[in-house]
Amino acid sequence: MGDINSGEIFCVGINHESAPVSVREQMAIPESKLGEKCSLITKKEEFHEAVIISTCNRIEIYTVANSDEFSKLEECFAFLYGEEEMKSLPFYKFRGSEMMNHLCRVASGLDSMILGETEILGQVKKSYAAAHLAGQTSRYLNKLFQNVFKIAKYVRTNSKITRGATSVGAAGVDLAEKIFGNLKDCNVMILGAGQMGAMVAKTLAGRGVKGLVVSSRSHDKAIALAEEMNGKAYEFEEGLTRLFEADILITATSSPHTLLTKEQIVPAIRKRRGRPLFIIDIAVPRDVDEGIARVPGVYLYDMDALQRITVSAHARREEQIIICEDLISTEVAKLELDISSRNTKKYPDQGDDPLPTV
Amino acid sequence: MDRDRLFLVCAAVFFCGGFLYAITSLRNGHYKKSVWNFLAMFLGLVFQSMFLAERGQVHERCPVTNLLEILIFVSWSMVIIYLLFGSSYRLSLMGVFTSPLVLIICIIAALVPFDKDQAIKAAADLGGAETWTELHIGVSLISYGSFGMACVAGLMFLLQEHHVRSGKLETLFYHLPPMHNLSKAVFRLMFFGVILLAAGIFSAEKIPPKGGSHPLWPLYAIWILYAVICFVGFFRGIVARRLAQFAVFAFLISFLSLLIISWN
Repeated sequence: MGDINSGEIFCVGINHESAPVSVREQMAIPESKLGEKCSLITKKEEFHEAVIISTCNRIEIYTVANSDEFSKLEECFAFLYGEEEMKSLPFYKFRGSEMMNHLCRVASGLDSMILGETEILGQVKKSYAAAHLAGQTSRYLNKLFQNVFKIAKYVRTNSKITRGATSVGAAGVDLAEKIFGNLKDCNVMILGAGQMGAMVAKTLAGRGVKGLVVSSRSHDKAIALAEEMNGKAYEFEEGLTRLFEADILITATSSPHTLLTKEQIVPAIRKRRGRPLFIIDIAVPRDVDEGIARVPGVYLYDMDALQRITVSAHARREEQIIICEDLISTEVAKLELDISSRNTKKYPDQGDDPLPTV
Repeated sequence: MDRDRLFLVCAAVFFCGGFLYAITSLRNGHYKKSVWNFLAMFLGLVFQSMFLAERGQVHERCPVTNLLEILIFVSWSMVIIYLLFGSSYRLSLMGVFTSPLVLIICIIAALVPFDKDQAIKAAADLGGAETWTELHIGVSLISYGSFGMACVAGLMFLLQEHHVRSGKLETLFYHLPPMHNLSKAVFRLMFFGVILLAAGIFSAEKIPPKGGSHPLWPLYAIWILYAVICFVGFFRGIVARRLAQFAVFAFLISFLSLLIISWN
């Protein structure tokens, strides 16, 4: 890294709004290479410090340079990927408070495809950690990123931007956790070995369920899915006779008619001695007779019900954008003042930096 | 205003304040584990205790000689049970539901016409402090407090179930405990109440017979009602919704039994 007496932090990048996935996938940088790629930028005399954020939705470079370098910022991408490919890309560039606002929005999930998603903060932290470990950050970016992490946490705590399930799987998990509490004592049964059922079951299994059983008319598929998810496979008919063992039942078969009727569920519920049964019916046409929802102790959700939950969660998150942006503006104003006051001081050696908390 | 009534008003103010604070913070989405609600409940309990201590000194016995004192004793037990068990079972929001119920009981108690001289005379008629009598009254009314808290947990369960069934995952849905935890709390509180009421009835049978004592049949009826449901729940299992509905219904019946006992 070169020395600089007074610099400015710039951001240049593309995201899911400015570039299609076909472009983003070609530019994606694996986490293990982030540090190395940052050094390609800081090797150039005019750029000091660099952090690259590379996720499925964005590739952004944060770097420090003299003010007049802003117009040449796209060159950073040229250092990484070569000149030719970079000319026609729709880059966005930010500096000053706009840049800080942007990074805070990114870290808080306001700029994500799924509004308010929480994974992005971890990804930004990892990107920063990779650059820092490779010795590519110093006073400016350390200060910026560490403060942005605090702001993102503050925004999450003081708003409801992360609240509510925005996917069918997450809605299923939210409901299951409010019915059973700890999912570690729950057995999950999947009727049908299709992709949708597997997706919801994987989300639930991610929370550490007790046992998982797959039952399908195609027993080979059931075995394959069960092995993938570390569960057991039952023949379809056996699965139906063992319904009482399941706490969470996911039905996702391609059956053209109703598979589970009230007459089948009521004896299973009796055997459960009062323990509730949570049914997620994501098959179309539905596998479960809707009258089952009226059986005490049964909680039945079909695809429409789960989608209604995700739609209303998304709407509520959108209502939170203004609150989050106000919080960010206030915090960014403080941070900007702090960083600009440091601009007048001599830029220190990298060795002077305290280890950041990531 | 008498000093004891003043204590009661202070207790009601704290219960009301804690409730309003919790509701406001819930509506604004800032409710966490409400320390202020917990503190308000604790201060309300302190004033209730001061009321009961004042009455105890006047009567020179356990201060349960009329409907007002019985209601305050039951609500006092409910607050103690909440403070002891509510937070340890991660049921912090229980305070938000307990405080309005306790507040209502306090208000009803404050509105009950009360003749202090007559109460002192009634207490004197009942005789001074006697071990079995004190034990019977204290333990029985704490069991009613436990049934009251089962009713609160039952109401919370029914509310959470409504959210889950309707798919309306709003603020309260995220703050209310899981239904499984609530139904466990309902069962445990009822079971705790059944044990205490059994001890209360047993000690009542040991009291030497004399005039002015209350009939025991309402207590037996309440005990059988709760014992049957606990037995069925334990040995056969009950759907949690039914258990919650029962906890609410049975507490209303228990409340009526208190009226019957106090009028005799």
